[in-house]
Amino acid sequence: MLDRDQKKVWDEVKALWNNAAGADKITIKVDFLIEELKSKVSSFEKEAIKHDIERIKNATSQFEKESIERDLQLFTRSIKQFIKRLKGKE
Amino acid sequence: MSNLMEEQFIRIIEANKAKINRLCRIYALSPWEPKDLFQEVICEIWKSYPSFKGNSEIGTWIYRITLNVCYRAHQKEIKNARNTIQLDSIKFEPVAEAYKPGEEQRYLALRHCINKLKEIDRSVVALHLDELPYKHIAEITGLTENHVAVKIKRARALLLKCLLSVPSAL
Repeated sequence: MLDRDQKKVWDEVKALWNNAAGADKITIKVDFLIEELKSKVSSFEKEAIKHDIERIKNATSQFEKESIERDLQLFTRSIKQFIKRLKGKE
Repeated sequence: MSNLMEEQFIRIIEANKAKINRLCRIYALSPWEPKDLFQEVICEIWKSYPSFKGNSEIGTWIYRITLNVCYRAHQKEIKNARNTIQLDSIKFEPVAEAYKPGEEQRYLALRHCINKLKEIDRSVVALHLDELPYKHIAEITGLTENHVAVKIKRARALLLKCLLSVPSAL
């Protein structure tokens, strides 16, 4: 494509991009917005923190369970190998 | 937040709502609606505004927050982690006959093609379409100005190629 054609297409794309914002009329009730943000954001944050803590707790206990299981398997394998070697020496 | 800051916050939102919405419309993929992302961005600006130091222009800062929110939504982080806040004080109404004939299809094709770009290219192209100087795009994305220029050139070519392959696009 020639540079001139590319520029023309690009200008069309830009016009399309700019017009798209006009497809929605956004009305903000200014006084109400501040009140709403004050009440909803802080309570939402509290809930979100609770949710995150719960998630971390669950994730940690699951991680610990898996870690202990891995350690036990390693320990059992080592004991078995040790006994096997011991028997071989006898 | 002081009364003065609240007034400033409102002015900033009013002045920037169209550009916030333009980005939200690009990143809004099911189950996200543009208005969900828009509200999420407003909440994020509200939470972060007290810590805005004025080191960058307010417009640049708004773009950075908007892209962060949109990016996280795109990665489904917010969706999986928590629900969104519904702000009843913000109303979205579709404008009747906002599009000329065929324009909506062309816009959907543009959105489709922008979303096919890599994440960083998508942000760079969106900011470029909003006619931000390279310097500001670099500030927002953390790239160097030279890198921005290279990325824009490549992303523009990819975008045009994609648009030309979609029958309803141009």
